[in-house]
Formats: sequence, C-alpha cells, structure tokens
Amino acid sequence: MIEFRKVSKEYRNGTKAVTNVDFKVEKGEFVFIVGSSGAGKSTLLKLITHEENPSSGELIVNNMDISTLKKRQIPYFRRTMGIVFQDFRLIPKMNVFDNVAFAMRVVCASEKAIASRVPYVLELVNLKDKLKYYPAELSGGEQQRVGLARALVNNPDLIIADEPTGNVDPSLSFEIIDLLNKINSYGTTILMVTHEHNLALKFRKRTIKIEDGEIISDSIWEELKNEA
Amino acid sequence: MKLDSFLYLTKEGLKNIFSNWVTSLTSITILVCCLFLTGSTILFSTSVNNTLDVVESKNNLTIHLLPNVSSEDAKKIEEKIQKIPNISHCEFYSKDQAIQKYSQALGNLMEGLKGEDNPLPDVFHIRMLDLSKYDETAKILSEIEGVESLSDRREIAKRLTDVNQTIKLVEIGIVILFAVVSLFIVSNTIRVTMYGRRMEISIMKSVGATNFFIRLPFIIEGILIGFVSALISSGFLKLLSNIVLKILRKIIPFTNIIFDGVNATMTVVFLLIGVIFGFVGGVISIRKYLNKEGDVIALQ
Repeated sequence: MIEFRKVSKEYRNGTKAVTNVDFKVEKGEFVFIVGSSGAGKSTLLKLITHEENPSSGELIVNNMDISTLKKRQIPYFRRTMGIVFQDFRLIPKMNVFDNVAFAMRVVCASEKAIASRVPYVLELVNLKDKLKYYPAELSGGEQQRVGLARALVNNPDLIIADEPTGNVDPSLSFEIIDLLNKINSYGTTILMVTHEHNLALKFRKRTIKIEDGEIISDSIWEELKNEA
Repeated sequence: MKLDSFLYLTKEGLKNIFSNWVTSLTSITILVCCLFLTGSTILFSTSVNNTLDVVESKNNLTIHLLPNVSSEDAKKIEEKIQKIPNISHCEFYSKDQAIQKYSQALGNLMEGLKGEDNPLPDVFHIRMLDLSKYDETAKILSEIEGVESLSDRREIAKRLTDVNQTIKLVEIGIVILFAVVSLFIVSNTIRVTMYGRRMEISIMKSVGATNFFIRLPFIIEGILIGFVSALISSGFLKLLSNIVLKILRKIIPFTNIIFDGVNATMTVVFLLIGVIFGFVGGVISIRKYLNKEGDVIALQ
C-alpha cells in the first residue's frame, strides 16, 4: 500500500526534512505516525500525496511509483486516497451535504450518484440528521466528522489523517479515532499523523515515531506499552 | 465531461462573479472603459481612413501637353500612361473642351481665344492607386514625350499619406496598450477570486480534481466579465456614434467626412474580443497557481 525505500527529502534551502526513511504499510493497516512539531511528519504526508518529490530513494503508494508519475496522472493518483485535515477545511457557505458532495462533484460524479452516496457516508459518521446544517452550526467534533465523510465519499483505499484531533475537544478525539477504526474495519488503510502519543497508546495500533526527519521507532502496541 | 459537471462548473463561475461583486464590478468598469476607448479609436481611425480614401480618389494629377502635340500623338501618350502600374484612371481633356467650359462661365470674355488662338494646353486628368508612390510615378509621366509639365500636388499627397500612417500607428498602439491593460485587469480579478477560494482549490486538488476542472469556473468567470464588458461598451459606442453622426450631419451637411457607426459585425467582434480577453486572463491567472503543487497539506 505504502512503501518508503530509503527516502530522503532535502528542500532547496538546504533543510533536510526527512532522511533515509524506510517503512512499509500493508493494505488494511491502521498506523499512527507520531512526532513533535517540525519532526518531518508533514513532509512525509506531502511525499505520499505527491506534493513533494523525494530527493532520493523510492516511494510506492497504492501500487504506483511516485517518481514515475506524470503531472497529468497526479489527480487520478490522488483519487485513490482521502485526506482529513487538522483544520477541517469545510467550505463555510456550503451545508454538510454539499461539503461532502463537493468531493464527488469535482471528480465529475453524476448528481444521481451523489444523491445516493452522500447520505450513506454521512450515516456512517453519524451525521445523517445534520445534512442541512452549515459548518458554523456544528461542534468541532462534528465538523471533523464531515471532513472524514468527505475523505471517504469517493471510496478511497487509503485515508490520510493529518492531526485530525488537533482542533477538537480532547473528549471528542476518541470519537474521531473510533470512527477511523470503524472505517479501517471495512478494509480501508488508515495513516494518521499526530503529536499526541497517548492516542497511539490508547488505541493499540502500530506507531511510527519520527524525530528530526528520521524514524526512531516503529513499534506495535505491546512494545509501546513497555516503553511507556 | 458530463452535463452535470458542466452545469455545476458554469454555476460556480457565475457564483464567483457575485461572491466578489465589488472586484467584478470594478474590473467590468475598467474593461468597459478600455474597450470603449479602443472602440472609439477604431471608429475614429476607420472614419478618417474612409475620408482619406475619398480625398485620395479625388486627388487628380493633371498632365499638360506641349502645344504641338496632335490628337494622334495624344492617343499614344494616353496608351503610355495607362501602361504605368500606379495609374488607376486617365482621362483626356482637350483644350477645346477647356475653353468651352470657360466660355460658359465667362461668356464673351473668351471670344477670340478659340481655335488656333486657344492658349490653353491639352491635358490628361489622372488618378494614382498609391499616393506614396507619387514621386516615382510623376517622374515616369514627366519623361513621356510630348508632356510639358505636371500640376504638382505632392505636398498634399505626402501630407495625406503621413496622416494616414500616423493614425494607423496610433490605432495599433492604443489597441495593444488597452489589450495589455484589459488582460492585466481580468487576470487580477480572477486572482483575487482564486485566493478567496484557495481552500476549495486545496480540497479539489486533494480529492483529485484535474487542473482543467479547477480552472474552468475561473475561466468562465473571465469570459463572463469580458462578455458583459463588451456588451456594455458596444452599447456606449453605439450611443456615441449616433450622437457624433447627428452632430456631423447638422454642422457639415456637404462634406467628404465619412463616419461609420457601430454595426452588427463590430458588435460581434467586440463580444468576441471581450470573451477572448476574459478567457486568456483566466488562463494566465490560474496557471501559475496550479503549477505550484505545495498547497494541499500545508494550505497557507
């Protein structure tokens, strides 16, 4: 699903964002990537979404070698993944239904398909009764669930969650991860970036720790527990 | 592209205009001014050109023949004149016809100057195709055997040609200047809309919308701005040309000035120009933004 082979990324100004990153995420896995601010987590995500190209090494995402992707192939490559953002990125002037439908409209889905798929996904994130609500009328947790529904609506193989609990009440963080767990149980691979190490501990998932652009540990839950 | 998607994108383009109505209105106003001034320049220059054409066509050159040239020789001279490429019209006017004309105007005063005593020369009235070749044509004409002199109008010819060329240059300059200004205005307006919608663009990119899909609403916005501006400015031009025509007809009823008003072809051309400007402005503004790949995850 995702395979980093000795990937390094150095920006033009000389900053080494990630160095010799080497790990593999199998289909259907739920993986936390944890690290402090500036550790290189965002660069990892940018490499996966092909916003940045690796300076060296090989990167395979959803069976596609990132380095051989042509520019016009990038949109189609991105359709294989869904992204959940820390800041939700909901469009304020659109209601819940339209915010989710937006992700389908921009990939040229028919209105008929949108009308059947959007309510289904919103039901999955427990927001079926809030179709007509606008983002400002929702709590942080609900807004993030809309973001999650939008990431899911095109039925991607991989969900990338960039600090999805960063802007929600701590009590609601678990709710978001519960939902990600539920989605994972249907076979979707989840890659969640967070600086909250405790979340990884609580949910007993594989956790990759990154510091100063290097992977310092790649552990399953039991190992983490021992570390703690 | 599916019809659903096309309708959706057109609606988004329309929404762009209304969601940033102050910017849209400003750019429409500036575009109307640019197009109006461009149109006025074109109208003015076309009218001057038409007027010059009329004046040029009436600018006969007169060739005076020597007194001893017989009518047979005059015919040979006429053949030689007509062989010169820059001659569009050549007409023989005998000294008898000339004196007759003067007699009609002056009556008895011309008595005794007819027949052998006629002091006037036989002449040819000619018109040239291209007045810029006046000098070389006049030289060829003066070298024909039997030609005594030419009536020299090269100053008028030169001035007309100079005026014509200056107007053409000014017209080209103004059209280029306003084209650049218009493109700058349209692309700036769209850039403002685009920055207002950069979150939507980031979401579009994250879910895999093609660049064409992202670009289309902005291009539609540009086209609509261009179209509306062209419509308004051609309305204003029509109004202006009607007023100018009325004034011209009132103050100088018998004149060589030809003023062409705004016609259907010009309106269509204007609308096309507006649409093209809008399209190009839209393409320019969004291309740079979309070429940058780094704004899906870390949207600023």
